[in-house]
Amino acid sequence: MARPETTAGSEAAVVGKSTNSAVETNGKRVARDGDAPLIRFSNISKFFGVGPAGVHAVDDVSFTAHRGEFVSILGPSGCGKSTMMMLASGLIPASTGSIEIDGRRIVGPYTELGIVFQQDLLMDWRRVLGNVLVQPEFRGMRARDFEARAIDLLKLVGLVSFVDKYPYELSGGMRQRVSICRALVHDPELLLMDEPFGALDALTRDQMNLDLQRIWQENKKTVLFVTHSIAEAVFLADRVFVMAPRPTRILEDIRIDLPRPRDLDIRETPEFCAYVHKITHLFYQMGVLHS
Amino acid sequence: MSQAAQQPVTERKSWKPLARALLDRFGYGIGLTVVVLLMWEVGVKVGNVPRYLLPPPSVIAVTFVADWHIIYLNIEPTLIAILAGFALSVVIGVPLASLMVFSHLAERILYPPMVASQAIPKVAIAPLFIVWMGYGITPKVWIAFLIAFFPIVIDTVIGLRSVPPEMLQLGRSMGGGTLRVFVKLRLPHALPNVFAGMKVAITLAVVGAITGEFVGSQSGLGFLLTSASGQMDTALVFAVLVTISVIAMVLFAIIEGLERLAIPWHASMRSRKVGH
Repeated sequence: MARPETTAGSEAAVVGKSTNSAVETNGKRVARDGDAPLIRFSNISKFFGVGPAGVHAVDDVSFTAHRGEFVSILGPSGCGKSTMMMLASGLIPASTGSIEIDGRRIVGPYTELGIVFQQDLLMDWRRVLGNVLVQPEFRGMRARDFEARAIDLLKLVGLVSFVDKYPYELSGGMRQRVSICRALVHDPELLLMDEPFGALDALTRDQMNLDLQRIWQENKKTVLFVTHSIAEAVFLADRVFVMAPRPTRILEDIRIDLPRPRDLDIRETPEFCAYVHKITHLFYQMGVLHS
Repeated sequence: MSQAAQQPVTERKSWKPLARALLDRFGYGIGLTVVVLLMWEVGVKVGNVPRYLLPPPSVIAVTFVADWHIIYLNIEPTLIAILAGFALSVVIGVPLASLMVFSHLAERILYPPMVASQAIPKVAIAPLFIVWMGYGITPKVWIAFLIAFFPIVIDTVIGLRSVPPEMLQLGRSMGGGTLRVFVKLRLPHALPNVFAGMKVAITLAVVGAITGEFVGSQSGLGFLLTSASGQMDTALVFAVLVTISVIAMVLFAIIEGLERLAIPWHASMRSRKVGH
């Protein structure tokens, strides 16, 4: 894979608030890659349709996320956050601007990534292991070569005894864990998660947050995590992009300086509450929330 | 990891003994049949209905046993026509449906003649087939095919189309090209619909084969039906009708069995297991 040619100088052109949190959270990779950006949005806008019936979904979004960084994209439901995921994966083209991943400009579907959608999108006709191995199969690689890693990942999420079950035999949380394993089995640099826990109950969701943090710490992926939960965004992320709706744009890029690993109790600390308070206030200012 | 709320849904094992289960499954049907047959038997006797109009079930049963060798000889040609027509309808119907999902042009070209072919009564075009293909098995097979392929195409198209768009996006993000997405996503997703179509198709293939034999044939249950009614042997007509129904039911059950093997994961199969 080509090393990105970008230098610190060219980064100045992107959002100035970009952080170096990767240094703390990803010491090993940083030693190899320096402060290399993995994904870069430059002045991305997206329009659906034309004329008065058209929708301006994303407005001039620019940011850089570094290797191993966990970025939460936080905004109200239906504000076009998912469109940003689709843009990042190259599944839909941007109207203006450019996206680079790992130094390459994205022009078509970009496949060196894993995606987790809100629905688990498991294939009912495949057992758990087969659902994870569908990833290499679709890439035309030998599924057998990935079996060991698939089992390791399933072990990591506590599902190793379920490898031979069909999806209908699993609960919603377990199914979403399988889909996370599927997104990671080919060891991609980038993980896109589009409200992955939105359909789960609150307790399961807490557990999934803990699990995801552990998986992320063990696998060191760059994660773009779309959510509409302020607490979830702060809990998981190195940086939270607070999105303004209609059209979606980055209102503020907040760096979360909380020690890792974080447990659920951290949500009661003054530091955590300060972040939540700050973001809540931003939503009040935008009119997303009103009293 | 606490998973108290996430226990898997395990299959419920049936506690009933087999006999009880069978009675549960078939008891009502058998009971109803017995009642109807009894009323028929008594009604015909009391009303003094002549046998050539409506023979009582007992006479039909006797005829069935007495003429079994004639019936038996005629099962094979009909069965072959049914199975060949059905096989053709699957082998042609599924690829045809795939083509129509792949290409809007193909859909626009193929749908009108397909619908038209269904609107034309098969009895009306069967003589044409016989003129073209002779009195052998060929016209029967094609008539069976012509009537059976339609539900397979319609159901397969629905199945192939009903893959959630997010699933297709997932397939593309995993680097799958059109062909791989089709083979690994659309086709398995459509399998329950294909089976639904096949279940309708197998019964229609029976109708098609019999229709073909009706119009022109020297063997088969349809031929036996026409010759028996020509001789006013109404009891034999009924015996052949019973045979045809049994064949249809057995073929249907075989498709259902295959379905259970092929798609155990589908909701329609699971609700069955729980005992409804």
